[in-house]
Amino acid sequence: MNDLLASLAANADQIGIALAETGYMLAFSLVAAVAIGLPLGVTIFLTRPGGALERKPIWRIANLYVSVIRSFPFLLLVVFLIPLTRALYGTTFGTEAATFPLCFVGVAIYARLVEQILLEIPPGVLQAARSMGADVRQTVMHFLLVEGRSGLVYALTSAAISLISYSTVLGIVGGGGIGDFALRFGYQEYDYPLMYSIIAIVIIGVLLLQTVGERVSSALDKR
Amino acid sequence: MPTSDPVASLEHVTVSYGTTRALDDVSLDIASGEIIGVIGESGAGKSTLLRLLDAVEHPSAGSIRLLGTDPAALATRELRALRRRIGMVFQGFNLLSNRTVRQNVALPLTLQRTNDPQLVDSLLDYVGLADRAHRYPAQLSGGQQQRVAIARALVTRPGLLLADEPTSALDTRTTEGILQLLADARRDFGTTVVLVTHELEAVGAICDRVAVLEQGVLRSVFPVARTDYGREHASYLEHAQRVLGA
Repeated sequence: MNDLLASLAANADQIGIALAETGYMLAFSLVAAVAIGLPLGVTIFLTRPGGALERKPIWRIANLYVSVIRSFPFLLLVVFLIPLTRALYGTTFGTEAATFPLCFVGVAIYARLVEQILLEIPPGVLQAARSMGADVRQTVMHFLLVEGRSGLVYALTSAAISLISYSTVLGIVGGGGIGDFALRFGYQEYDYPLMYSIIAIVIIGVLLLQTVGERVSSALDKR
Repeated sequence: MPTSDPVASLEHVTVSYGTTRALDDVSLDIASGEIIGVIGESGAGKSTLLRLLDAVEHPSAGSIRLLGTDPAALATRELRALRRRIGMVFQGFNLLSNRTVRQNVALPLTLQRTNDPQLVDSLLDYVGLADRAHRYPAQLSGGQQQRVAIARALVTRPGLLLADEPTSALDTRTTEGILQLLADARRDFGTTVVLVTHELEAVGAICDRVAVLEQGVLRSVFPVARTDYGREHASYLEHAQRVLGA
């Protein structure tokens, strides 16, 4: 136990940096998830066959994007995106560049979750919107997002937890982060106590995130 | 009672889905200020008629005029503006569960980018729910939720109020109150009401006329001999005995 604490204390600075890197990657990919994934999910919902704003070509493209990105093994997606990452960032290495493929996944995961949540909203809500003469923007802002809000928050929590998991792979392109730290300084250095304590830290972090997500979600739910 | 042009007028309207005719050559005028019942079995075309009157569907053949315009000739934006002048009350209430009673009633005004807190308050008072203004729909009974839905439908001062099986999810006593509220709306605001229902008693309680649909065909429209809904049975027991007793 003392060895463990000593090992943690000796690595405290680097653990701090690694956590900050994970936080950076998570924050940016979550922003992408909300800024792009949410509208994308709403678009898939509205333009689907039989949807309120049926547009099959748009639906097909949006749906295809989500399905393709989600079916990509993540490590291969990172490699696949290298040319695009280089074109945009000038490098393929480091935390910032590594965040780029994570954003793709964040957008795809959240878009699909958003679509599923909107599909579960009672059809009477859209019926009411239509009969009140709501336009598309109003239908989304005043009806769908209002009735789906607790599910949307809960799904974002879920997406965040998946993204933490995905981010551990990003050590391959120098993304750093807590998962990469555990692998390099724990596993590869045969410092298993360090590795297990890092895993414990990650699990505690995820549990906290889950709890906060649940609390916020249920506070928003008046059903 | 008809003093002005009809609020809605259907002329030889047919609505077909593929080879089936949901409505077949229906002609009907709905006079301003009247309460007209529409009855028929499932599949008789009641819902189709209601969608036509709510301007969310257009005739396959024949013509319709709603509040002085031909909805089939309108662009999307004008069609939305027309729908805002037609109130709708649903069987399942269709309130937003994450909005308070007050926010639900104010919603149609919000969509029109106006607000009128006094009107919202007065309508909440009118439907007897002023003290529930800050509750959420889940905290109300079915009858109370339908009252909120009626207040929401009335807040735009609609030229036509469509009620789609508004009492089918409610018990007898609550039904009586909701029907009374629709009748009051006509009396106090001159609202024209179309009551679609399968409950003949409800039609008997408040309608001036009734249209009977059968397999998409309008069989008959005739004046209603009013009977007070539920009045002759003061208690649930008496009601049960009257309906079920030998």
